[in-house]
Amino acid sequence: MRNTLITLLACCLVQAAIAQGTPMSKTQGEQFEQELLKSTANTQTLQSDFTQYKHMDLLTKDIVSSGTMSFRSPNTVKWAYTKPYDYSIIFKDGLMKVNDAGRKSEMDIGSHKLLAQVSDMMTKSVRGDLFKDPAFNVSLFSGAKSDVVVLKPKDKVLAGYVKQLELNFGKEDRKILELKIIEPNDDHTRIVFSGLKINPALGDAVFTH
Amino acid sequence: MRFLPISLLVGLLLQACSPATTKGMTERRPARATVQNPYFSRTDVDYLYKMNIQFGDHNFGGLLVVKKLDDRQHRVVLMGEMGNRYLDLTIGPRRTVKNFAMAELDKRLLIHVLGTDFGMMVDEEVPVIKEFTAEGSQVFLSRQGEGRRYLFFARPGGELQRIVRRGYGKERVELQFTGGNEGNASHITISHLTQPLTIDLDRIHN
Repeated sequence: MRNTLITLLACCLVQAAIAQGTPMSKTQGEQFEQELLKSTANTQTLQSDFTQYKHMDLLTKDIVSSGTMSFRSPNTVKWAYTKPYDYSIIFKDGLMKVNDAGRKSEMDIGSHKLLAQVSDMMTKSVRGDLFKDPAFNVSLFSGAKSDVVVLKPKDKVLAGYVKQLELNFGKEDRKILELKIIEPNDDHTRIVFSGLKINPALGDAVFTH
Repeated sequence: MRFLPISLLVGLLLQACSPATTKGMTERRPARATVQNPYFSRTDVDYLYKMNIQFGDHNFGGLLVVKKLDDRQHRVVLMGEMGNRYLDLTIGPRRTVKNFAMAELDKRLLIHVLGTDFGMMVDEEVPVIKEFTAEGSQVFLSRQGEGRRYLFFARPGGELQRIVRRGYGKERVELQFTGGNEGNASHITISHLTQPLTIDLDRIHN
């Protein structure tokens, strides 16, 4: 009985390690950082479809929503949800602009620290300077299909909202594949990107409600 | 003969004192001890709503998740569209437990108000102390803390259409359920009648 329990526990630990990958060595980490910087060096704009899976242990299945994410250098990001509802949020010039099915509002980013941090992480992952953020402890993992950057907040207030952020990048092209936000209670939001376009023409109209 | 005018007077006074909520309705002895609110009564269903809260000039949107935990408790979670939790409550018949609240919403009064509103919305088996009838509706009165709660059912359909909470001589809160089929309410409005607070909920089928 005891052996069975130990075996089960070992299997769970191995499973957890596989899910994230194996930790990168210092050399691997430096090479990954260089590759990421190189792949993002000329990125001025970016657009991608996304599907969001909100997992809560409470629920029988994940809440699924989808839409388009647009980015323009240096730090303008828009998340436009089209299914199952129309909702868009723009992070621009220190403001958060919301269009909730026609109801428009604007607020200071400071009052929505978590969303601002997530948006900031997206921006930094595109710019390639994800590793220099002093607000997070960064660790790198190498998986079978992707490499993973894990960010754990140092700030206690932020850590009350998010346990860690995980960003998955493609092994070959270093494009972002997936973003996962894990809450302290292990519920999580997983955003899977698809149809990523690098440097599409994105005028001001894209970032206006 | 002398008793007739007195009886009439007493009757008129009672009519005048009856609350506006049931004015003109006929009171009768309740035929049952409890009535059922069917809208959040299944443990195997994830109840998901798009939410909009209007407080004065302020507007606040997001998602509302309701899950029935057991016969006495529901979990109610308010979150942003990006999946970030705002408020997480476990609501039981006598008390509301806060599981999580973001700093801006971690206010005792706010949690009490939302806990009471959502408690009234999810409360499944409501004890009855009086029953009223009118054309097209059947109304059941229940006690709620210091106040009273009225549940309006359509007649003859039997759907729960609205709930009114009265307190200190006034109607305080009204919940309206619309588009209900097979125990699902497609739209719910919670209106505070003495405060500029309205919560609109639209069902999302995930």
